[in-house]
Amino acid sequence: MRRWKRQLVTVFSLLLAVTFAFTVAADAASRRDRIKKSTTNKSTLAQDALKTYVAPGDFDDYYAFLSGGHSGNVYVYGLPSCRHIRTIPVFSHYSATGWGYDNYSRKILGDSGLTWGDVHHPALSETNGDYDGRWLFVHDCAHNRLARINLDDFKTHQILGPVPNVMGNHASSYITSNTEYVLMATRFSVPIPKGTYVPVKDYNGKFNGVLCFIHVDPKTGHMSLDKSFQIKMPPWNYDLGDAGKLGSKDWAFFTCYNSEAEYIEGKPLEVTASQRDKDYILAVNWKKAEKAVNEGKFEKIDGIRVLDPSKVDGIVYAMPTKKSPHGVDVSPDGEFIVGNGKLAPVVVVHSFKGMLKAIQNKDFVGKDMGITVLNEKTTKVAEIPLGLGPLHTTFDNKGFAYTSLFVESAVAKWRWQKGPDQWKMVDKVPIQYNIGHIAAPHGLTTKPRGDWVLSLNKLSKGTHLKVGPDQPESMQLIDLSGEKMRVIFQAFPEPEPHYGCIVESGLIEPDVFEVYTKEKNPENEYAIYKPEDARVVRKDKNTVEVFAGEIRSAIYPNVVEVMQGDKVIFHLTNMETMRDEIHGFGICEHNVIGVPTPGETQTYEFVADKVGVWPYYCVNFCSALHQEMQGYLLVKPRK
Amino acid sequence: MKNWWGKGRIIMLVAAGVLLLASVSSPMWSIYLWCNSYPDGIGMTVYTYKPADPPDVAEMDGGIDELDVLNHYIGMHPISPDLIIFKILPVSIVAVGVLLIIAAFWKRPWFLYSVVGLNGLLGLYGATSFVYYIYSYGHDLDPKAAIHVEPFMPPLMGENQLAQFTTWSQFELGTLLLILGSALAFIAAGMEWWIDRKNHRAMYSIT
Repeated sequence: MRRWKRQLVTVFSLLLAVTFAFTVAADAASRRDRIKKSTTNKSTLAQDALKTYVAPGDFDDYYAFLSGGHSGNVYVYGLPSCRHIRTIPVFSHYSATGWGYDNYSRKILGDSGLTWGDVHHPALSETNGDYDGRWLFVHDCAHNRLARINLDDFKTHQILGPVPNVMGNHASSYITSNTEYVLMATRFSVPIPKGTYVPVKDYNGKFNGVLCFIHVDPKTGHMSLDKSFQIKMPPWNYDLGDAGKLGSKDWAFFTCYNSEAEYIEGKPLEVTASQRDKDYILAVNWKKAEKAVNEGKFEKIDGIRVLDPSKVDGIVYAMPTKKSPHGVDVSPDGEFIVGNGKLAPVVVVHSFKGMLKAIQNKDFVGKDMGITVLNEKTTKVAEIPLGLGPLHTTFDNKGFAYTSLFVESAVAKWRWQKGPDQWKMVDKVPIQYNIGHIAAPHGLTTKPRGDWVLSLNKLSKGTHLKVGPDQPESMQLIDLSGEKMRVIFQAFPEPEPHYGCIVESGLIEPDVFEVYTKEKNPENEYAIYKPEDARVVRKDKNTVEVFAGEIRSAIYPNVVEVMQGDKVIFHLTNMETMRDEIHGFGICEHNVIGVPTPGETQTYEFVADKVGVWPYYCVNFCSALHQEMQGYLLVKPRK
Repeated sequence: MKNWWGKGRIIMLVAAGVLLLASVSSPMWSIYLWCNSYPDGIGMTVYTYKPADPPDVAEMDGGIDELDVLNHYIGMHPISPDLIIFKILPVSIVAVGVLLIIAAFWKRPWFLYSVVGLNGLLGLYGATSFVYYIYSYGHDLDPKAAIHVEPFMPPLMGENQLAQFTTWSQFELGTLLLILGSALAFIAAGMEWWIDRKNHRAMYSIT
């Protein structure tokens, strides 16, 4: 009797022990919390707060020009405060400033009918490889356009394109070191010229990419196609670019993926373009290409000069780089060409001198689709393991490079300059989340300023108050002042900051004007500067021209009478001479909106086809009697 | 046979059967993965009859769908509910559970021994095929995948590191119930055998 009792007790205590062990192990919730705490990086120190605090009335040290992605805009931020200061509309209509509604902006937008664009990589004009603060160039990835924003008024003054032959212009708008050319390149190869029909099974053979160099007038910044040229390339996907600087200034570099040159119906490109272990960084001697083109070694395709590198030697070389490399970034001294591995957890560093040596010694491994491939052993100086998904690299003034790691959601710091840690990772900091581009003050110029790294993150999930399914991007400011990098601030920019140019405010501010003089006013021929000059002029049976003005707190004239069906040409001058006295102009139930800034004249054209009485008013709150600032458009029926 | 064992046998075997039946609808095994960009983690819970989101998926960044999206980059097969194990396992556990309950009342030692034997085979099958499936998910990678990784063994228990992920995997309540139920059945069979032998000896000594 006692024996079986003893045995039962043993058995049950064994079972109890198993149960207990399970309960302890199964405490998943607390385990999760512990791991979560150890991976979250939230800086709460007051001293970090002080570093980014810019008191009311004080100014930021840097402008950050962030691309607006498919919003078609450019956003101006201040650093280190990360405050959004202004939106510059470029490719999209933007009623907040009237962009796309008045004649001047409509003329710049052109007659393509496109009302959106996709801005990825802004580029500031450069002199000797450093920013000179004159112009900001941006590109439209979707419609193969380039735009120039003047930095005296922060407005768009030229949109060029759609440029022939380029398709999916992603590797843009990089700039040569004295702003000779703005780079463009094909991401999605197509048969050229555009408008050619070829089935996709002939991808390899009848589709082409082009690398494109758009000429910039050194005085005005005007871009023109007649002095530009292109290089016809195999149907690879050209991803990103950078121009050389100092010793390498005559060269430009582009990465590519899909050197497999395949596009197969029904098979995702993410698979077919990832089969090769190495794709290429393409080095283009644009100086030599320019010379060859000027010597007549080109074929005109769709009105632009196109050079074939399989017919002209010494223009394009391919440097094998793993794997589907994304960004290519040239070191501040112009010597190292950094390929960011994307599908390989490394950055691959090629030496410019090594590249020249390989070219000189004909150290080639062969040709790939007509492009000479250099021996990687001669060009490559380092392959640095950093982490998962390296996309872009930027630089500071102390010999370090900073690489964004998309998959790992981190920034890696490594040394590129000679020193004990050369080609070694020295620090890594997690970011929230999935960093794409990385930007630093003058980071990709010959003179990086250091101080900060701005991490431009694709996902912000869960790091902000909930706003529904449509979520903002995230950008984080990384402090470089200490031994370790520290994420000290986060902001939520408008979609989508692919890349940003960060420039010392002192290079921009002196040339900025805040009130248009008559000379600067682009439509000054239609301007009026006194209320008594306001008038309505009938030009012919069907056209009425209005010369109007706004000054606190009235619109002159305050009555405009037209006949039904009249075309109305409405010139409106903001007659203010005080900065920030911005007025607006909107007509009720009409698609007319304008926001003339002080001293500026704008023209709106519309057909008055609706009989009735339609108020117009100032849409931009201006003064104590802003509400009184209105008029009537009377549209009389025709008998 | 002694009176006390008549009752104890019924209690133990019914309990074993009920535990087995209960295990079928309970989670058997879970894996959670965290990294900086998935601070609330993603994960999966495996039941005897299906792979599924963890019960606390609402507080997490994602479940089995997100796991599949990430896995496709390195060429892992999607986690499939159509695997044969998800059909064999629940049916055979239910069968053995019912048979154990029958054995509680139908007092034939040979029947009990056979059912417990089946139970053992079932355990062996469950354990080996589970390990086999986990192994092949980590090793049978599509060579054409965008990102190449070395084949790996997904961790079965405890905290581990997989690329940028910290993982935590554990066996769940269902496995515990299955082990407890099977253990009870084995003990019952053992006691049956022990008492049977004792009775036999007693009978033998009388004659």
